[in-house]
Amino acid sequence: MRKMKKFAALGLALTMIATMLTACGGSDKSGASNSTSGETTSEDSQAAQSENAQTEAQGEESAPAQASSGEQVTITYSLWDEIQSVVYQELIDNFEAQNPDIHVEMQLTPWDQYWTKFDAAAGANQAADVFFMNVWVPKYAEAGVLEPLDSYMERDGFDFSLYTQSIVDTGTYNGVHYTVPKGTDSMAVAVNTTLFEKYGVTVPGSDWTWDDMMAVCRELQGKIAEAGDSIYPMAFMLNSNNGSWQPVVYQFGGRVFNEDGTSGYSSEESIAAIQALVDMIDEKLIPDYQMVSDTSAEEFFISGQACMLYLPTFSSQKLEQAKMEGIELIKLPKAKSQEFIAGSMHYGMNAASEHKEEAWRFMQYLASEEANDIVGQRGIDLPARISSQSYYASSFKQFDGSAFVEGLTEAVPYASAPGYAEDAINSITNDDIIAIFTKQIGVKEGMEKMAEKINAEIESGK
Amino acid sequence: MKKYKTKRARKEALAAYTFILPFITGILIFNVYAFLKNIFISFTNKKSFGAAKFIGMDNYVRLFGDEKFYQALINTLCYIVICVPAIIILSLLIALALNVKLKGIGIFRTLIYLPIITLPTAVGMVWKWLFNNQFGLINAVMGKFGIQGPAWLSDPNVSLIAVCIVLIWCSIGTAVIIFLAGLQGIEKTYYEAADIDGANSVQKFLSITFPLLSPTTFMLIVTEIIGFFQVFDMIFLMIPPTSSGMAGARSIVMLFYEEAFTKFNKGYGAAMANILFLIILVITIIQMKLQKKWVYYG
Repeated sequence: MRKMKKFAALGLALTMIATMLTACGGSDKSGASNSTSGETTSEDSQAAQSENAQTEAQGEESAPAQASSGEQVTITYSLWDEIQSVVYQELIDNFEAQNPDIHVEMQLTPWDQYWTKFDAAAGANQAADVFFMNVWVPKYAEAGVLEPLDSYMERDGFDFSLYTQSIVDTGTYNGVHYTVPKGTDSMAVAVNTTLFEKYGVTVPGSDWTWDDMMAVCRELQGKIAEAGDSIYPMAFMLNSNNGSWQPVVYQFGGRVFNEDGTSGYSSEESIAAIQALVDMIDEKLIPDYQMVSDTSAEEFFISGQACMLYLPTFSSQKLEQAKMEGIELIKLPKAKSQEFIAGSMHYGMNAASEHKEEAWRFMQYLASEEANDIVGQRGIDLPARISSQSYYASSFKQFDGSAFVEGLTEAVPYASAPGYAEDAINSITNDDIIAIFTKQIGVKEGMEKMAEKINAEIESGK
Repeated sequence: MKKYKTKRARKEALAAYTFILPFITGILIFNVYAFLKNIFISFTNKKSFGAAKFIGMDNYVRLFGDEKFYQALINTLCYIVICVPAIIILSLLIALALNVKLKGIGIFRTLIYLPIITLPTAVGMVWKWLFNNQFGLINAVMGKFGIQGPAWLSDPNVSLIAVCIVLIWCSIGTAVIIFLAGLQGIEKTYYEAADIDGANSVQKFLSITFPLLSPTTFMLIVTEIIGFFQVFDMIFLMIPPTSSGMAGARSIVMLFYEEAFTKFNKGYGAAMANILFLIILVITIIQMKLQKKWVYYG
């Protein structure tokens, strides 16, 4: 009797191991096979038993997924945006209604963990079949994670001319199309007309220059002081590179990367752009870096502490949700140009996917007029399809978003160095750009240091 | 290996090993294997994808020439020097105060422990708002007294102090509970004898309470120091990577996170983790040696 008990315990322990191993394998079959190992009472050595349990576990793992006999294929679709996921569920429902043989399973991962998780999954060929991709196409194209789409596109006559060119360009690497365009960022200047009225300053028009902007800021500053208030004429989200200072670099004719792939930060134009922002901080026309680290520039604007705001599309929902009255959007001021650097979003296909044809059909639907119209109407993203963009402009209740769409003609595709996620390149210089804006280092010296660091990093990665 | 005398003893040992086998398997896979793999990765230039190239000591050479690493090391030491003594002293005082039989003492003990059962994310978010430069409660209260509060989380000279305040606040609870347990393990008879000898309360504390509490104190100091070498969560939660306060608050693990998971320099991050391991190992060995001088095991 005692012996029996002991062996029962042994069996249980082995069951636990077996369960653990199968759990690691990601198989979610029922415990039927595990209970059989629990009944084993062979008096042979323990090693033989544990081996047995292991082979069993492995057998389960490597057993082919029970494919339902061509009935319905499940593809996975991963994204990072909770607000957008609601609209995508709607799109998935529409798609499934039109394609009853495909089931799309949505996997939502918050932005903060999306890329960490994505890299780990892609490294193990476990990434979703279709996924949100942003401007880091070169990194994932080079790593063989993204499926080249040219053959599908040629076969089905995918028409690129229907989409904004800068997005298509970002999705292309070495002449190969790796993504289906989804949407793009755009920029505008948001103006609080109520405050302009209060201080008796004329709201500028969309054909203004950087000097006009400085003049308006100074005029506002004078009127604000006269009224005894302590608010700022303008606000820049200095702590967001593509929401503030990188677009300004482009407006001044600078570049993040030169044509030869080296850093463009040390050019005269880039230095002039950052100097212009530092001058604004010095003149107290905008909140300084520490202030916007604590309280975002959007919050300054929303709470009426700043009369104007450099506004990227990805922050526009904050203004919308704050239900602010009297906002007007105008185009960015012209320094050398009205150009700015625009990030974009894409749909990518997993090169290791087992259901590429189904994934492609889903991507085709996401690229369709119907899907783009819905994305635009809900205002979750400025859609890539040109004919759908006007929906986005009128999707806001609090303001007219036309300036975003008009500004798109000045959008320059986001620069990315092969082998590097853009964010990695940015994080190398995070501390340096902070040092520049907080006056710990001169603008020219700091920008040259940033360029040097980026070039060294690119060189070491070659 | 120890030999088992009887067949029965051998069988019992076998059964015992079998029972701990699932746990040991987990440790072998997730701790030992991961640890050894990490040592291997630290000698390669591993990124997210692609074959890693063996690059010898390059990561370590780069690490010892990296001013950011030294800054992070100094910051980490600051966290330890500020937080550990503060936590030990404050929690000992609180534990002494709570070690009385009073009506409703349970409520106070619960309140002290409350920060521990609060979700760290919530703690971080709430303190972030309390510390806010423009709208924060702390600066508002200081303003009432005519003091211009600092930009707690975005001024690199203050951000470390701000994080320390939160860390001390949320670490005291555990230490208090452990001290309380230690205090209640001290026999009453010692104090009665001291009363008869006419000792005052300071003498009683220094001659009875502190020596008998020293194993508890030692254990807390060791674990707190190890914990603070790995300080990460509150920094990550309260200070965004692009904040001007990050440079002043960045710890080694924060730097490791940035290297390994935002820049995806896994090899370099692994090297950093190994150096951190060595530092903690050496410090802990020194502490174990030093304990003979002051820890009293009855």
